Amino acid sequence: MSEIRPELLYTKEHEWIQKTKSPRVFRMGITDFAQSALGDVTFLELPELNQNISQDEVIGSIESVKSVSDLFAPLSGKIIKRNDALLDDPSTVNTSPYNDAWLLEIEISQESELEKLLGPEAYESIAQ
Amino acid sequence: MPNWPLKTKLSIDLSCKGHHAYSFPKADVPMAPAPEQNCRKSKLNFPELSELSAVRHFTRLSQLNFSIDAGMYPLGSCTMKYNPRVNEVTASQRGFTRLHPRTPAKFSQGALKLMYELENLLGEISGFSRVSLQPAAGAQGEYLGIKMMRACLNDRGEKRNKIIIPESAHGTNGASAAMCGYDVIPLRSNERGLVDFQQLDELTKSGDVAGLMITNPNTLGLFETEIQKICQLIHDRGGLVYCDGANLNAMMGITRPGDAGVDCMHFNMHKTFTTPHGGGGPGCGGLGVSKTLIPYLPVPTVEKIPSGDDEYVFTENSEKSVGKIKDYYGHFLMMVRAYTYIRELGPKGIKKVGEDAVLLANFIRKDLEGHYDIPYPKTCMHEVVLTDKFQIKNGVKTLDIAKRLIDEGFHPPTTYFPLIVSGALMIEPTETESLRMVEEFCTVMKKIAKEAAEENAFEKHFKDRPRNMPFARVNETLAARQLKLTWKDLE
Amino acid sequence: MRYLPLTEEEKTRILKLCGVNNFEELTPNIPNDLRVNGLLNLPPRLSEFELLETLETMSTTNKGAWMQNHLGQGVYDHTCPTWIDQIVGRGEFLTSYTPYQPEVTQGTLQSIFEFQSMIADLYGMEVSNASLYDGATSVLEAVLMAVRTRKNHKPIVYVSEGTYDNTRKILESCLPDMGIEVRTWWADPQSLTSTPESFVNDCDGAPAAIVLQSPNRWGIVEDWSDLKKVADLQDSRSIAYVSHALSLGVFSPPGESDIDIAVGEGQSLGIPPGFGGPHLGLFCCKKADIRQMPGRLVGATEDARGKVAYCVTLSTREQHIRREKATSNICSNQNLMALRAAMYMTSMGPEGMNKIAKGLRSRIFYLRDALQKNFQASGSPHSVVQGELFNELTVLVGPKQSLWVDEKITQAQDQGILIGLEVTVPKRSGYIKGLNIAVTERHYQSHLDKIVEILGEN
Repeated sequence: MSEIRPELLYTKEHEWIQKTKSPRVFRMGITDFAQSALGDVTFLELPELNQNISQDEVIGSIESVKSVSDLFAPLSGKIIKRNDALLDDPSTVNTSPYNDAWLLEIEISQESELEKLLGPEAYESIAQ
Repeated sequence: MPNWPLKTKLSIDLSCKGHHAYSFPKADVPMAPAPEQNCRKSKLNFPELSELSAVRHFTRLSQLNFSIDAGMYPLGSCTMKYNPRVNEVTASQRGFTRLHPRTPAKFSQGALKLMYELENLLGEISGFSRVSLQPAAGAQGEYLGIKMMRACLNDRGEKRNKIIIPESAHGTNGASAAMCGYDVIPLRSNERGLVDFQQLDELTKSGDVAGLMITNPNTLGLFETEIQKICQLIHDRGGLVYCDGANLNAMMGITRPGDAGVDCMHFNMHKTFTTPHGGGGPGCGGLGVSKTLIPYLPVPTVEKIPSGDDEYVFTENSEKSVGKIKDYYGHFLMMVRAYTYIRELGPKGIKKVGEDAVLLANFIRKDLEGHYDIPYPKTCMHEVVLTDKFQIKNGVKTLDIAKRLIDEGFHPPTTYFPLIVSGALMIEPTETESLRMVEEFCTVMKKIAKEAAEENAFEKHFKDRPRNMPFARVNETLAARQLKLTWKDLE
Repeated sequence: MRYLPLTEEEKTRILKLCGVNNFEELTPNIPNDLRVNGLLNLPPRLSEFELLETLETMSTTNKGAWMQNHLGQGVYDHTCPTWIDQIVGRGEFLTSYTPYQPEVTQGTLQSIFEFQSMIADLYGMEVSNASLYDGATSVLEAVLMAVRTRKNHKPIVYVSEGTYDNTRKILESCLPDMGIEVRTWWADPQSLTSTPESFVNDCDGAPAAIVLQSPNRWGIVEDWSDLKKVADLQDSRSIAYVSHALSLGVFSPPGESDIDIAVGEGQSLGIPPGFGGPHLGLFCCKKADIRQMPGRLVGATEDARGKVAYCVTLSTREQHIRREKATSNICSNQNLMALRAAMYMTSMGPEGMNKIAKGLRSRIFYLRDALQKNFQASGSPHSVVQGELFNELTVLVGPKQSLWVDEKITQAQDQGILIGLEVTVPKRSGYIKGLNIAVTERHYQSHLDKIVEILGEN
């Protein structure tokens, strides 16, 4: 049974979103369910800093030995931080999907989009 | 596989300075002085081995391979049948091997005749009007087929940009369509495991669909019973139909895709016509086409001179040809093998191939019934798809079953394909296996199913498999995380 | 039937087990109107003896395989140690599948790893893949890769004028589907080489890729550093097309000029001409670009007991995983050919690679000097290409001599010699066409003298 954290928001693409201390800035990563379905992660392709993204757009990919998953923008906005340590050691995605393996921080441009995200209960129903 | 400890050193680590295994004629002309510029600066880091050391090194390497010659290889969708030895003898004749592709026709009549006749044999087997032998492998056949469909539609003044591909298809289909500049539209399978006709109908209404790439029998081992209706629909909507010929073995002598209305289909000579798989190639493609597509065939084509007495030529005269996709004429030496095979079998043999392949797969389907989940249990052609549904409840997955089989002397079936079946194990025995061998395989499969039902099954029977081979489970994650692709990277 | 062991009794047993009476009932999905009625119209079966007789007749009709052969243009009748035929022919190599189960295919995997190591070393590049179909399709894949990695450039590729006709035709048939245009990097009319001075950028922007073939189709060795210079002008990807792998035994490899993508034909590494195939496509690039590389790759790793082992790696680039987003649609590699090449290079070692290359170059210079002397002495309108050569040269045919090549080819054939191939030459060179002649290590001085005798004017 994979871990689902009550304090986070989710997408149906198995990504988590967390509000940070700075206003309008959200942190994202992939869920425990996603990392376990992928298997040992071997490579990440993340968008560039300052890149503008729009919700649901493909912004990168995560690879394991025998599969590859697209990474979707959970919200529209601008990439303001990127977890470059993961590029050197992608295995962190498997060991710490909710903490050390955060992927990006996004300064969002449309707050209304937050309504489209899933709460923990709603996510639990699709993560199995 | 031998039990004695095998050294698996790299050839470079066996090197002895000054040793070599070559013997070529010395030049009897004066030696030219070294080039003034453009000289190679770096010294080659190649091994130096005597002939015995080289022979021994590669012989030992060969002994680390599982092969059809050594045991049953029931890889679904790969048609791992016996590769007759006589093929190797005919293909190594000097008149074939040492023939330069630009040799004038009058000095290469035998090769031209063989290509001409092979084209006709394949046409008769598949029901197509003409066959191009140019594709280097199945993937290039797909590419060529889609390219010709595109040329034909362009000719009709149609700019269509989509190709429909069932979700159960081989990954190559999508990649080939993309290389021709098409967008890929996925198509669902219905509850019987066949093309969802209703969805196909919906998807093709828009008028921008160039065609359908269908696999028949499909990757679930099922014959698309509505194939004629499907082809008719696509044609009515202005598109064309491509058939992936990977599973032609199941149809040989029984039914012909060309008769069903398909516009083109590639051959996989290494599957259906016994050219060696060779650990991954070379393949040999071939593409059968309907009358509609003949004007777009790649050049050159082999033609028989009408008035001539058994005389053949290459011709490049084709206004609408898609051009060339491969140097020269394709993998000729593979064609010699395929030709040898078809001539050995004759019409009765060809029919027996298809029938026996289907019969043996059905034996497996019935014999393993109840021991493994069979998602489409009613019928199958040349291969049958099982799943790990019964076993996974007790913690044993498809991968575990596959690696367990290795320790019993069988190569695993194709696993986790087709993607639409969770935990798939796809088994294709092929017609060259004896029923006795197939029974032995089923006995082992039943034994494994029994083991998987025991308490603590994984720890007891499946962990760390294979256990009895020179190599234990290979760490593929490490390989991908720390790329080492040459012996220089190991230093 | 010897390959088809199922007996009638066993067939009946299986039908009974399946609860049906006949094959038709066993396959209910096949519509009856689609079933083949009776037998296909194929010639009757042959016994093994008859088969060998039939194929031997077809083989011996190919008289070209027994003639003194100077045909080249990318395919050469080189020699190959006989042990290679026998060891490649082992069933364990011939009848093994693509090595997706690494525990039982270490033989194939390690031999590919050795192949990759030696090809990368020969090319002076960081990485090589496990091979592609042939030289020409490797160029095609290289251009596709170059365009993928230069998304902000114009989807245009400049191809040197000295590139083989066939390769050029393949690029022109296949690249427009992907919206890529092929243009020409003209050759200097005197030297017949493509130089920075002879490069004209007429595309109103930066082209994604530049391709240079060497030795070129007239047999002349080009300079990779010129390719590098031209590509660097606008940050285009440089693609080196090595038409003859053995040439790297003496000449500077692409890696020494910091080329981005280096591809080529490996047929000369122990693979017979085989009437055009199978041959061997070679493909090298820089490590930084590896995720955009097409084709299979094998990497070193270890097994669960810590023993060095090999496996297919970075498969996520390939069609069976990434489907329509894959870097190429290729599924196979030319594995048995790559294995032959690995064995060939292992046979040769560094010394052998150098020796054979020197020997070929010496033969072609002997032939060039002899022809040149003869043409000059006789006041002939023809001449021979100048500059650096490897194992091929082109006789340049003087004006008003349009029948000369055909006449000489026929004259040579009458003496059992395939003397060479007609090639086009740029009109601005002052010559009307060329006769391309290749030599291999099978040729002695006496063979070369024969050529001079046929082509010379006395």
